[in-house]
Amino acid sequence: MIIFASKFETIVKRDAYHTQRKEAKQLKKPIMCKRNDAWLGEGFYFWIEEGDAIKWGHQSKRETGYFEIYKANIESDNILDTVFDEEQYNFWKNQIEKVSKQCFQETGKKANIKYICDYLTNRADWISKIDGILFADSPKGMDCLVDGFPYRKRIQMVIYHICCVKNFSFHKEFKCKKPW
Amino acid sequence: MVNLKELEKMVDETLAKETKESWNKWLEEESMKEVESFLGYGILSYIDDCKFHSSIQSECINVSYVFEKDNSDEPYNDYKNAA
Repeated sequence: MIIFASKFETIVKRDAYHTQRKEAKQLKKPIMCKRNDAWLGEGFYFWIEEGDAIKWGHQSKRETGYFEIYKANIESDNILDTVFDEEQYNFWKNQIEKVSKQCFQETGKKANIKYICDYLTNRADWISKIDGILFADSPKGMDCLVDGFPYRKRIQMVIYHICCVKNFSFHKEFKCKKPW
Repeated sequence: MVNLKELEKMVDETLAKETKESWNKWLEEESMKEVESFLGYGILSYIDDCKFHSSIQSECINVSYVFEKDNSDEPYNDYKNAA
């Protein structure tokens, strides 16, 4: 990650990787994810580490037997960082819990991931104020060098505004391995 | 920079307007969107698969033609990329 700071602005640049199944033609821009189980709702999803992008391809982009990794620079000073910024992480956690709690109290129903993300990004209109969210899940340690020790974060980024995606280009192609 | 106070205010103001009815209506709408998205995604994936296989087939036909004529390496490279 590179930070350019001036008197007027701070721009954060991150290299990131986008995984898609192989098609007849290479992509010129990332594909918007509309999966129901997408953690942070509709947006352009990127991995911060190439290794995670490759594993995701083997795991979930198997339809054509091959997948491709694209590389891009994400440039923005307006991405909610729930991974490395403690204040932003606590803030994000509190907002999710606040919405979930009120939803449950009023309806007796538990909202799922997609509903809560839709609530924050669309109903509360965060999408008009931030460019994306950086977050990490909790791997069980299966992919780590130390067996069973989840010492590393698997970091993803959702980008809501394509203007933050610069220099999007083909990086590598892989043949899908058998599922593990 | 991300303005946390502004984001929090947006959430609080939205939550303050909610009623039991609006929550239920919203959950219902989300549920409908989920179904529509699932159906749309499934159908689009199927169409994409068809397009992919048909493009591979047509490229294979072109490549076999090139092999017979032995014209250039370029289509062969395309075939390698597609395969």
